[in-house]
Amino acid sequence: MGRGKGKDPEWQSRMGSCPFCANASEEMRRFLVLRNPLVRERSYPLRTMKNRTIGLLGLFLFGGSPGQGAPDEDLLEQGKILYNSAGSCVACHMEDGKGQPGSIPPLAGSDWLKGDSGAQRTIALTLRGLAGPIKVNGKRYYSAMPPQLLFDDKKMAAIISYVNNTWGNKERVVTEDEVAKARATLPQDVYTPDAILKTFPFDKKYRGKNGTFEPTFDDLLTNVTEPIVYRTFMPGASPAAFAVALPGNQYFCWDAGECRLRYVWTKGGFIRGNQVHWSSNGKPVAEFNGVPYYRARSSLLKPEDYEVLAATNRREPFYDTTQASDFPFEIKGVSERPRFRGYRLVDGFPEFRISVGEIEIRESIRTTSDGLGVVRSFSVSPATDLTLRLTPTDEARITSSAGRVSEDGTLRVARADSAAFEVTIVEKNPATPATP
Amino acid sequence: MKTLSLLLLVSLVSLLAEAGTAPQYSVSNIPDPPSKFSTKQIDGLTFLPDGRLVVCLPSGEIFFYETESQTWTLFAEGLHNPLGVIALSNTELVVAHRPELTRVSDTDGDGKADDYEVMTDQFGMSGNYHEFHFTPVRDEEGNYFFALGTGSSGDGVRTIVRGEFDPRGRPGRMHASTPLRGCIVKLTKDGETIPWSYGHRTPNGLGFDLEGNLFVTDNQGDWVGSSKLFHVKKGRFYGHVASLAWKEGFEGTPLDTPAEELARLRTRACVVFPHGSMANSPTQVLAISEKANFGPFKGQLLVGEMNKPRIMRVMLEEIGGELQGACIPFIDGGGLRTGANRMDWGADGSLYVGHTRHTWAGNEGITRVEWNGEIPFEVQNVNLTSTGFRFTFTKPVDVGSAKDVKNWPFKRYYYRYHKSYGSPQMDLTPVAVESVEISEDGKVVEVHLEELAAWHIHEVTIGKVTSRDGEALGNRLVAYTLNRLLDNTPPEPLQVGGTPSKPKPSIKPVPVKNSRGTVYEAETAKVKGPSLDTKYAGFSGTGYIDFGPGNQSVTWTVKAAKAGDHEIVIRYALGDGAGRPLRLSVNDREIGTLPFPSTGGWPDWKDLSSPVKLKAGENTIRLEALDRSGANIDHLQLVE
Repeated sequence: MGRGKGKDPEWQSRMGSCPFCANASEEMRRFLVLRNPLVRERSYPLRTMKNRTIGLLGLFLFGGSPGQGAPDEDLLEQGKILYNSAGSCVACHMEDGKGQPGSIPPLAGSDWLKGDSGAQRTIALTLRGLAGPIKVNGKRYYSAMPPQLLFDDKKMAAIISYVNNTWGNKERVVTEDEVAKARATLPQDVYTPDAILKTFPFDKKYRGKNGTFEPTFDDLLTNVTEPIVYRTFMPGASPAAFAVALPGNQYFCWDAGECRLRYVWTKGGFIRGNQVHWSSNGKPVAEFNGVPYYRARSSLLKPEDYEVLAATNRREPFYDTTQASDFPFEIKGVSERPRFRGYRLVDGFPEFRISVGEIEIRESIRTTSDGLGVVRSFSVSPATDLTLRLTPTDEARITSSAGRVSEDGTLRVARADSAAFEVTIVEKNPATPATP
Repeated sequence: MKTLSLLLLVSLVSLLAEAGTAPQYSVSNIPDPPSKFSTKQIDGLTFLPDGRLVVCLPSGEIFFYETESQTWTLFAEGLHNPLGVIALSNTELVVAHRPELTRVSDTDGDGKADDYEVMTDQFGMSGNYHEFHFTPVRDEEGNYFFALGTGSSGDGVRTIVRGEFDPRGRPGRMHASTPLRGCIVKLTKDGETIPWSYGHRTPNGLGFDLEGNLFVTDNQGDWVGSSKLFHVKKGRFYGHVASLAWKEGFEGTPLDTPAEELARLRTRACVVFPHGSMANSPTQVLAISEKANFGPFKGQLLVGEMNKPRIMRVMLEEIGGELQGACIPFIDGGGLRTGANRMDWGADGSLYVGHTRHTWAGNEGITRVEWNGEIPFEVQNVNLTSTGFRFTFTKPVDVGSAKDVKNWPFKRYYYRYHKSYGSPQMDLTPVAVESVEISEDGKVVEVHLEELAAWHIHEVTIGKVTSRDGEALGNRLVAYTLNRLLDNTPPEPLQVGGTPSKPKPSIKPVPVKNSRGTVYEAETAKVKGPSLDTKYAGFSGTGYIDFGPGNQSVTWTVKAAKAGDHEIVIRYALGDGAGRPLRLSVNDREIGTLPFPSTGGWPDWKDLSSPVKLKAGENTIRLEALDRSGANIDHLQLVE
């Protein structure tokens, strides 16, 4: 969290940054205070009602089992602090409880929390962990939840109660005793999806969209040892895009429509769920997790997040590629548009070919030796003086073998260097060191 | 099988009348390529000079298959929905995929592609999923032609589009807002990319005949009353308006142009495939060439079809300076799967077929059709005469049955040219047979009609005509697209209006077997997308739901007293002439597609029934829109 905050606004994506959360928590607090008396007042008459349908409807609307009482404000406040503490739930599930598309399931609105068995299931998987492919609210996830060993019974009860009663969730509170009992009696192994759902099955109405699934090739793509090159629809790029995974968990999007590197990311893994694209009519735009640490500036692309940039249902585009006049290479006397000419696989790595007039530019991108970034290797033929416009960012350090990259991202490459030069982009302050 | 036949009642009724593959042809299955993405859909298929089979998959993988040893090898990956492939050599392919026409080569001889050279990307991409890039073909001189699909109203455009965005091409059901969508494009041997023809909607399949004429199919939809085969010539416009935005000299917004004006611009199809009975989504065109070992049909064209397990045969002739002719089912069932999307001739002259679906009707995998060398009893050719048609058969016919005019029930009709989806058969008229003459050798049957009408499709389902030896005729449904007469062809009518014919009795909905079921109104079910409406009277409950295109569905939760076979009856109305099938799922499991044929008018409510297997207690029954809209749905009845 906090990455991108107060920085170049163009890169400020809602995914992973948190200007939204600071205000929301105050609103949430007020909401909870207001909500408590409401629940009590409305739930008493419900208990006396004979009509079961209305009774159940009441439960559904107002949450909690009448017998359990309302969530205690202090308990929720404590849960909130614990949830948001460093290295805790927030690291993956995010402050807004929405998780991370494709890899970390949401807690906000999650069907996994719901129903009679929901609270017990949550306690069990929080204590023992859960590993394997799961479906949450119809979406697929493939990452492990580690057992939470830092919290005692009371803290755990507070966290789960907070999750159960935040972001619109209206499930019951969990008691310290319940957690203690589960801790003493549950089997010690990390749960598989099958095992936990056998013990704590979903209520019927949640079964269709929740459970487990057969993982596919994409789901298992982690720590690749050879580059992977996909052509597919990518957010924030023209429809003629590349998604490339490099050994060392560096990933990038290269846009053949504008002949440029679009962005580089590392956290959260490669694009996911592209099975859907390939097995369907081809509509879905690829999803990936986290925020790129380098995103090439484009004067026409406004600071939209990737959800917006993945939209397919627009009446008109933001712009078309003939309007994109800011090709990052400037070569004196050459005014032609760049054209994408193809690529060659060298040791499995794509080497992109671009022509600008009579000049050919080749670009190949590999992981740096320390695994913290990427090296872009360029060769320009015939050799010429040129200017390359890079995008300065607080997220990454940009250096070049051809000289200094100025404050505004300009790199002047002398003719003598143009036949072979490199630009290295390394992520600053990586939260988790990349594993090369 | 019983379930299926009821579900696909409409198509099966016609199938039963005409089926199918002659016994001299047999269909077998080829093992699936080992895609790491587990897809088995085949979107491109050809052969290398050394005889190995090449297939492209939607996952972007390209595999080679050694037919003798039955082994698959991965040749290339990372292409974007490739939909056609040409083999230039054993190490060099040309692939049509969404963003480019690309030469994919193995330059270091390790058996795997390492070079992906853009041959052309000088066309637009709005990012709409329906903008497919279909089938490249190469002429003898080394020029390439490829076909660019239009975008669908099932979705819009992306935030960044490739190529100039022209808002004039954006309105309409299918759109062409970026360069050359809806066009056939030529890449000359010198590397120049030029628009070749206009007016294509979903041109899924180019092909040359043996004389070097270029053909392309198109799928029924807006401006395409029924699916078609066009003879592609430079600069011509074939009817779908969107691509006119990219035709030099065309002013204004294509969709705002009056249909009459567009009708004057268009070139007619050389063959129309009657919707429902012949084909709903034709695919590739493949000539029966010297390479083929496929019976006495050399020089004719094969055309695949998505919705039926069918490959058609097309017989053309030049009349009045243009090609026109007849189509007939050929390989029809007999083990062939639906979704016959790509075809080519194997080294032994047998036909290899790649099947696909892309969420539409279809199937997956590869089949192979072999001819056993014996002559089938089929219509070998159809020619226009001054008084009717000359049918040449592959074997002498039985004179008695062939002479019986009752066995030649001709009718004629046309499809309306308009912006709506599909068209009913207009001015459907039976055409009386005056006399039938049979040649001395018994192979040629001259059918003299009372009247021949230019610019009309003339269709006949030949009755019980057998061969002299008593062999049943393989395929009986013949549709001849009669544009021009041998002499004195009247001027081309615009056919933008007319009287829709009443739905044929065979496509009437299944009558309700038992009306005492429990009624579940659509308006109280879980409705995702369709709007609630009350415009047309006659509905039960408080209204009905109006299906639009896109991702729309209605889900009923019904209670069954016991597990087992049940019948559901769906009350609906559909004013459009063409049926609007909806996908039926029970308890989240897709069980098929319900046809929903026209009810004749929006106020005319009819029932459609389907058998379903239910479990005891609560079950969900869902109807989902396919690529286009659905009917107005009033309610569902569960008959216990």
